[in-house]
Amino acid sequence: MAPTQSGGELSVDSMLVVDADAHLLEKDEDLLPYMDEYPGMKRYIEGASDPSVQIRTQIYSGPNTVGIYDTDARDLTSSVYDKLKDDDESAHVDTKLEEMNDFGIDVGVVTGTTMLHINTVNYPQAALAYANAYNKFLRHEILDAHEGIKAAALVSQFEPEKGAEEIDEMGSEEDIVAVAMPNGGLRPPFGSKEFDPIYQAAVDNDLPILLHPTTSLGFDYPATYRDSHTYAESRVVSQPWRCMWDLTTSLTRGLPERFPDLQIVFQEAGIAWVPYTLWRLDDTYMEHPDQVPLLEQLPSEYVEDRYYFTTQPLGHTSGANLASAFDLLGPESIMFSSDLPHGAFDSAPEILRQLTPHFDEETIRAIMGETAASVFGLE
Amino acid sequence: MANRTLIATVADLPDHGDRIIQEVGGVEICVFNIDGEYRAIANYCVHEAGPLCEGSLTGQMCTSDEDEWHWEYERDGELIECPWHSWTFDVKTGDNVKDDRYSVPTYDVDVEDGEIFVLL
Repeated sequence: MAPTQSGGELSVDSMLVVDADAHLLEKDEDLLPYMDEYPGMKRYIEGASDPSVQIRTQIYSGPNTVGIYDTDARDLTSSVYDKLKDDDESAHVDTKLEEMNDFGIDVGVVTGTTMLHINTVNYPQAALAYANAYNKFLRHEILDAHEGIKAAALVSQFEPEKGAEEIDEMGSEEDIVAVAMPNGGLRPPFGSKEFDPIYQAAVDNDLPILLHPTTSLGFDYPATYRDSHTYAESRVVSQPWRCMWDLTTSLTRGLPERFPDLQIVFQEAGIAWVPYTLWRLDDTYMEHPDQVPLLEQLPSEYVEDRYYFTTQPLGHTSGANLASAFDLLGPESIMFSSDLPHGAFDSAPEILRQLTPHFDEETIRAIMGETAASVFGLE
Repeated sequence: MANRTLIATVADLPDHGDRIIQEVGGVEICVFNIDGEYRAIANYCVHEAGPLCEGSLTGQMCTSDEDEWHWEYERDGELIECPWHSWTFDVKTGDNVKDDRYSVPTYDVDVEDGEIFVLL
């Protein structure tokens, strides 16, 4: 770690800034026009007085931020939802570009918001319908609209062969740069062989997998949920817990040996949990050699080679502490992310300001965008 | 020239898995009978300095060549597992079974007239 020679001269305007975890705010009404291939589920969702409860009941299985969106002015999400009410097909793209412009972001790699909960719907058929409709929505309303907006093809955990079909269908789109496999409620966990068709399709289409967790503890730890009083306490642990589990199972079940060319991106859990988890994984690898026959090197070595982690939410601490965490993990494995327009977003200029005293310019450029450009194959 | 130290007799270690631990020149060395061959390795785990050779002889879980997913078991009795944290080493080479950057010293053995000597 060496301070940059250019001191405070570095700015988001002087470098490529890629947001490796950005979001659309798609609603049921956006997706239903693209659901004709699944007429049964389309009828079900259209007929529901509130699909978010009747179809996707488990979204609210843990304490959530219900009520905040409409009342709390600090939350960007609510103002974006307001802008999207006019039903203009370009509204999603226009609002995303506006956010990116506000925070100096050149390229945003978007996943959904409602669709992050695709693996906790009550009807597997609904998950398949949502994934297919969301991908069509991307194709018709998002892709090719602006060079700064890239997207991930969505898959659900149900019928992995269907997920592979979605990837093959979308993989030829230039603006599809990843596969979104939301891991909130993912069962079985990420490392499981059951998902091999999805991983094979990702490799065949040269796309990294994005794992995005969700905040409600109830998705993954129903027993713990019973003791969870508030969204606040749930938020602290739910995302890193989920990602620890998926990082762990991907390694203990040999995913990097099964698919050596698969690149994996963990989103929205921050950075500092990773070195701690890797130390435990390496320790376990050495102390329980019989339990991990599929691995041929230390778990941390696979991670160094082909796993990536996005920055947001970094947490509240000093810039020096953040820099130490980045060093422990290895800056080459880290990609800037904002999470915009969600309320927990991090600001690109602020992250840059915190990193600048602690890293050389090349490292900063890598974190802010160059590594993402390579992982996502951006021109 | 290496020092040649008498550590046991063949009669002391008649069967596979038999072992004897002796201090030689300030180092605790274990001689094993591994399928009728005598192998000497330091009684010292490079992980946290545990008494490696007081652990069990074991084998290695591996994946089948056919599908690289199902588990098989091989080399039973050729590996020594530390009784403290289960770090496991090849008795012949001293190498850790999962990462050969970690290795325990091994020593040459001479057998002459029913006596087993360690060279170091």
